Amino acid sequence: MASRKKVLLKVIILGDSGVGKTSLMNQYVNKKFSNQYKATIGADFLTKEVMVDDRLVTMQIWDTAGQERFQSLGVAFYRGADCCVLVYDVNNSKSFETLDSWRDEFLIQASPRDPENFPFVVLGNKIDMEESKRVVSQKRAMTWCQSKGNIPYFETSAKEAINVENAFQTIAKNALQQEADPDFYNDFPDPIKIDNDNSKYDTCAC
Amino acid sequence: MSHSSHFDPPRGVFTLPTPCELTNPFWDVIKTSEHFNLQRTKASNINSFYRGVIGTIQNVFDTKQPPFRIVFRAEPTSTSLQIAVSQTEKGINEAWKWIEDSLFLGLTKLDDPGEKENYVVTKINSLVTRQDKGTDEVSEDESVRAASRAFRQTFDIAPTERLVNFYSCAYRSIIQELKDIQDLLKERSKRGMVADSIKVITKDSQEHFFSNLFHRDETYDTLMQLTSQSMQRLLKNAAIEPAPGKFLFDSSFEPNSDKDKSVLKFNSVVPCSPMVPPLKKGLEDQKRDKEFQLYFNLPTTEHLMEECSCEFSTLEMKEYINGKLQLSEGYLTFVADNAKNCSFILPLYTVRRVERLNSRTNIFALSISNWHQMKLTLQINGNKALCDKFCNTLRDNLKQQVRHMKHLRSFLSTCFSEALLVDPKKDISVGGLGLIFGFPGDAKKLRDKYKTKLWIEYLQTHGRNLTLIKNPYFYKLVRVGLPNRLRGEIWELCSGAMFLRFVNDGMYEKLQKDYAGKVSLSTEEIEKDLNRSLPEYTAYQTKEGINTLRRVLTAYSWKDPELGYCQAMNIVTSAILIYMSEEQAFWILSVLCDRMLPGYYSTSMYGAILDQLIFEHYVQNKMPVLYEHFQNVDVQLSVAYLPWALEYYSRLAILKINGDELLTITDDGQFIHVLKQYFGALDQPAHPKNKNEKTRETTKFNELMMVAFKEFSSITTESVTELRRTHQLKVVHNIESYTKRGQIRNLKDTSKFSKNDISIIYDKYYNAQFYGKQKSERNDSRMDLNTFYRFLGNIAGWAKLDDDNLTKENGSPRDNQGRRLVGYEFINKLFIHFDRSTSGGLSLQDVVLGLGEIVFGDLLSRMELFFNLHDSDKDGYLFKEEILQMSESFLFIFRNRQDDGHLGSVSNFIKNAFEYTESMGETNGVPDPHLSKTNEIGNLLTEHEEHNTRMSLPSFRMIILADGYLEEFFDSGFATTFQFIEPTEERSKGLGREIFNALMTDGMKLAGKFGKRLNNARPKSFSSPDRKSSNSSSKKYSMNSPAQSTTSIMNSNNTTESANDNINLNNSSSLLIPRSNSQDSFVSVESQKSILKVQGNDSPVSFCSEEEDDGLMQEVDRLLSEFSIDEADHDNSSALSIDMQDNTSLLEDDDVDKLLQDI
Repeated sequence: MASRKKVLLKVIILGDSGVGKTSLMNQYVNKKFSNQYKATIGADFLTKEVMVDDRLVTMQIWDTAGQERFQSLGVAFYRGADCCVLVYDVNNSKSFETLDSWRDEFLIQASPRDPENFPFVVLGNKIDMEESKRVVSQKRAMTWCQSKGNIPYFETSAKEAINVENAFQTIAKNALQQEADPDFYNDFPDPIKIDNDNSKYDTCAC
Repeated sequence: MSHSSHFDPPRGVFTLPTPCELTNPFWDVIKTSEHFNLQRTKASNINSFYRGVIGTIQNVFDTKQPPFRIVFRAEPTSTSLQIAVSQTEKGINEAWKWIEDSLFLGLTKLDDPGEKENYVVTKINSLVTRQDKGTDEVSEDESVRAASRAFRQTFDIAPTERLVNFYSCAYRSIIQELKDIQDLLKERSKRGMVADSIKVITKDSQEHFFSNLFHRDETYDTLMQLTSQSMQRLLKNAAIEPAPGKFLFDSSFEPNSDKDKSVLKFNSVVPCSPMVPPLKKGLEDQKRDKEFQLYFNLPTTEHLMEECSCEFSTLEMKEYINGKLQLSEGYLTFVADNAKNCSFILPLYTVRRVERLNSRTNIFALSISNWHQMKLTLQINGNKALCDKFCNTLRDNLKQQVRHMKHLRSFLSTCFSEALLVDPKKDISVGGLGLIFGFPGDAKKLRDKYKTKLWIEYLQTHGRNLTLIKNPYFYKLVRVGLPNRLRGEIWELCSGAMFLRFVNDGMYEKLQKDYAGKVSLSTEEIEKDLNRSLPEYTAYQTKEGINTLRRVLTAYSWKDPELGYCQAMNIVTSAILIYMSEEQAFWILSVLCDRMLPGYYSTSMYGAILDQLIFEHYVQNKMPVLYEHFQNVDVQLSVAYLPWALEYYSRLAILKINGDELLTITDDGQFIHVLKQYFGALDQPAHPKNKNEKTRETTKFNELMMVAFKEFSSITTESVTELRRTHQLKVVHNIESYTKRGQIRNLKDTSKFSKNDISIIYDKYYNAQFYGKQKSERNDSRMDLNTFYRFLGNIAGWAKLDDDNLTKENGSPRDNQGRRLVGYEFINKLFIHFDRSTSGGLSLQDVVLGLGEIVFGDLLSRMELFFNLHDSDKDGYLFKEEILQMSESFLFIFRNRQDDGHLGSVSNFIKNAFEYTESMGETNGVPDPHLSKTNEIGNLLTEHEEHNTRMSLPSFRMIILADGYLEEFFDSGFATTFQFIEPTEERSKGLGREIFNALMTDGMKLAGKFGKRLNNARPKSFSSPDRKSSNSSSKKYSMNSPAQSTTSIMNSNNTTESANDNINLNNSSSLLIPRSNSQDSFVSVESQKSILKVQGNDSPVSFCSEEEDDGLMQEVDRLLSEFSIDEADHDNSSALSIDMQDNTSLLEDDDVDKLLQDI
């Protein structure tokens, strides 16, 4: 069914300003951490080839600006995303509280076919900081993730490279699943279905 | 006012005395007295068909006359004066009563007819002027006055709106709020020989055409300007709440709003100038001033005062240069006919001396010496009067500016150019971080020393900093590159930030001091980004550098709390701080945010969105192939360039250079990838394999600059500004929907309202806010009391305080006035109750919670609410006064219910309230210990003992529950008065609609009887002027059901195709009779007269259409022709029918009256 051609997975990273989106992406792609990133303006992306379930896929990871006002710029590149990564800082409770609105806004802007089952992954970043600074407990985060349809949850540190590889493996896997879904009219927002059964066979023509 | 009347004169009824015909067959006299006649137009009670005809004719000639009027009968020798008009009999009766009360006595004392007339005229004049202050109805021009009144009566709009101008056109629209307009296009009407129509697209993508405008371009410009203004307001409105830069409350800081405001009132940085009355003239001035400020980068406080052409020269210059000399409050500017040739902006405070040179006759020349000992010679081309006027204004303005001279010296000590020229050894310590941490790049390689030398030469002969004169060599030097030490100053000068810094001396320090240690949302955001700005530069690895950056960014966020801080500002600021002091950087940042990148960094970033649109527009025009490719593969250009905010021409050049490669891309990712690679390789040779050595040396950057300047030089600031103006309409509505989502999501508690209800509450809240405030003054996005009146009036019928209902019901105006006061009182109470934080303003959250409490409460909670509202001292008891107040509130809310039941209930309530407490008091003169076990009665007793009448909540409940009507009211009635209906459905209310509907109804009737029954119908209705039925029918129109109005909106939507061609418009009603002589397009173009009203206070606008279209005209023609046949025995009838059919347009307004008389 799914074509054997090279698969491109589009992953969008969202979350408040300063939670470590750029760092996570760079840690995963370049295995590096730096104190010298500039605040992200607009959007940027990196690609990485990974093996998922014995298949070579290219992940296109989009890093975004975290400041709320950048949202209104219209986020064209949300469209066609295969997975959305929500990041918050475990030492900052506001960044956790806004996850809801990040998720909502993503669903509105990206308008995926099946919003109920769109794959999200939540990352609680900066767990390398001292325990006393932590304000969002694992339990609280897990509860939220469960309430949103069992979103996979990881606690990470981009600085110490804790759990990053792991998290992105899951991200890639879920993204691939989304991509591979027999979503045959995915590219045509308003299909004119003449005959349901027939059209199923033309799927991969595109 | 010391006048004998017992009550205030009714508003909006009296007119400036206007001569009129007393004996006009179209008016029936209803009442008469010695000097006055109260008349009613026959149109109001004669048969509906006839009324339709008259109404139509009146509309055609813009002479719509309300059905009732009062005429002052002057002596037979002079003409009578119309002094009052009204739509309702009630209104005119009030006016009559007032006249009886206040004028009769005075008139009887006067004998001379002339004196009498004077007396009346003066009285009425002063009355009207007082009432209509601020509206156009006092305007001298009668047609403007009439239009303004008609406008106000036609559209149910806020009294702050003013009629700007009116244009006749063939319209087709319902009331249109300017802020909903999304796109304006000039269109060529299909039929016309000239482009004569305007297309208006609203946010719900309805299209409206206005054709047959005789001043299309003028109308377009005015509309454009007004829409822009309302957009600006809308954008400010859409700000995230609360303003991110507003300090969060901390105990060490007592908020003193007045003091804050004074800090925030800058000389020039208020983004939108205070709203001057946008009458047409004002709008023109406003536009001119804007262009002037923009051109010279002057503060927004400057207004263009004088302008003349002149020849300019200095001692060093060999020739005279022709150009334009302009003068504002604080600046004298010159720009050569060829702008690049020569220009200067001379602040008047740098002028030391002005002499008039009188060498030759008829030549008027000025010699100006400035602070830097330069002599500028200006030879003004023009006559003596012009020259004198210019000199006088210059002299006056110079006097005003003298006060600034005293800090000129200290200011100049912060300019590096002074040190450079005056005393090269003495180094000015003021400068950027580069002084300590070094400037980027290799100074030697950049030939910094050599450049400095060139600049010294230039500055010596052409003035410096505030007095610099720019000539072509200046631009050349800039392109060669600025020396590091001068860079900050030249930036400051070219952006105009230097003038701001001068005028607002000390403000930067004051901000630092006033807000030391304060925290806001923005300061928190800034804190996060300080280390993520320019980390590679050494200064920002130290505390010192970071502190500098922090101070500038936070100061700016305090200055403009609605913008606060936007990411990317940190990067810009960190870069400019290398070259200049904190204060300089602060003002450059201001100019950047306010003028150069307007809206870029605002909370909605509308400027950036706008730029995306404009950029796409350019790509589409200049590189259509590429544009099409992007469209095909669905790549949005905006994705890529945001991080590289460049000039449009550079961006276009980049696309052009990489065009071939870009044509192969298929998604966003590849697009960004191509561009990133290109940016990474900018310093590499563009043509490494070229044989020519010179060509090999050019880097990709050089190539980029070359392509940019060569190919896209047509893109100028002016064209960009123009595009911004036209595109902003589209942007605003996208943003609006985004902010709306965000705001609604941010509500912590939505009560139990559905999403839809919340959305409507949101719309009404912001709609009320939009019209409610002068946004430039506000520092607070909450709703104030006055706006709350309007808001509530929009949601609950009883809360409408300015509608007719308050005057329509029985009772004298005095009663109504009293009732209105009760209304205000009651709504005030609600306001205070809603305002949970007692902050004097309501947030959206407050409103939602407040309304929720009422709508989703139950019988008990609503009773408690009412009780608490009226318990003003919050002691848990209602006293006599409070009980009376409550009953008045009841009466106020019930005022629109016709039945006696409610009135009875209220009087019962009063009776019970007093009787109950009293009777309890009588039977239990001494408190009975047994009874007081049950709290309620116990309370009741003690109450009674102490104060005779006071009521507790439980007894209040008992009284209410004992009454069916009141119980029903609290159980459900009150809650259901709050209606959450889409605002669009309200729009089509108003007179225009009514008239149209009336005509439609008539048309239908007519079609039914087609052809013959005219003879019977007319006398019948004349003989039985059944006022009641005519009243009730007009009532029916005004209660236009939502469904009906929606249909008409739909209609206008459906007919957009044909809207250009008015002949097809009667699609909307197949019942209209086709025009018999439809080939006579002359008539149809010229005779359709309706009014496009561009309405004012910087915003809203309505297009009125009092009538529909050709269809109606045809009907009129038809009716008239039939009429003339029926009345064939009348003398002039044939003449009439010819007049009406052939050249209606040639008739003057006055002729209509005559014509009508003839009938």
